[in-house]
Amino acid sequence: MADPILAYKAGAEINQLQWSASQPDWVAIGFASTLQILRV
Amino acid sequence: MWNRSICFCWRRWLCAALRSEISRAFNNHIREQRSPRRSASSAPCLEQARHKLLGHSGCAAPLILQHESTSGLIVSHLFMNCVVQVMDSCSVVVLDIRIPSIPVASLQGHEQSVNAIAWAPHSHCHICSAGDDSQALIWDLQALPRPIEGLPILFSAHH
Repeated sequence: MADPILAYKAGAEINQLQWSASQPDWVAIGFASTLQILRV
Repeated sequence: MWNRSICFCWRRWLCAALRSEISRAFNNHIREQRSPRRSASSAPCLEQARHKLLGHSGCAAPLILQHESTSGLIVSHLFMNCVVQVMDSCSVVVLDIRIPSIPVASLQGHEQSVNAIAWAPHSHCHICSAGDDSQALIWDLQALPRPIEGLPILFSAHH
């Protein structure tokens, strides 16, 4: 499988990823010194 | 980084059994893939893994397995018989723990190594992966063949 259904390009290498269990529409990523919360 | 963060492990005895079986079976699979001629070398290992895992196949609780080395396998959350492995390369491999030598899927969208993966909490067929190429990718596994239901081995007891 080579094609994801959604793709997001962050500003730097992503080190951490958390998909909220209580808010399944949101995914949090951590890169450089930034935490971003993405809407799926 | 993974060495530090993926050291938490509950039900350690199961983790250890799973880890060794899965990594052994997976290594066998890689070896078979590399050699042009397919061999039956993984068969005994597969049987052992099945025996060990059959009793736990219904487990859907998150299960974090210990990371073996920085260049080795990272096994993440167990969800409905499936685990996700990140190879040291850029591919993410989904395994059915009952048949660990045959990957269910290989996700190849990252250009550099993958650092994190997560199952969708609300869906059994979505995974998010993120890596050194700055990308966060969400994958839909719905198109994959359904996991095998029920026992892979049947015994009849009539005489």
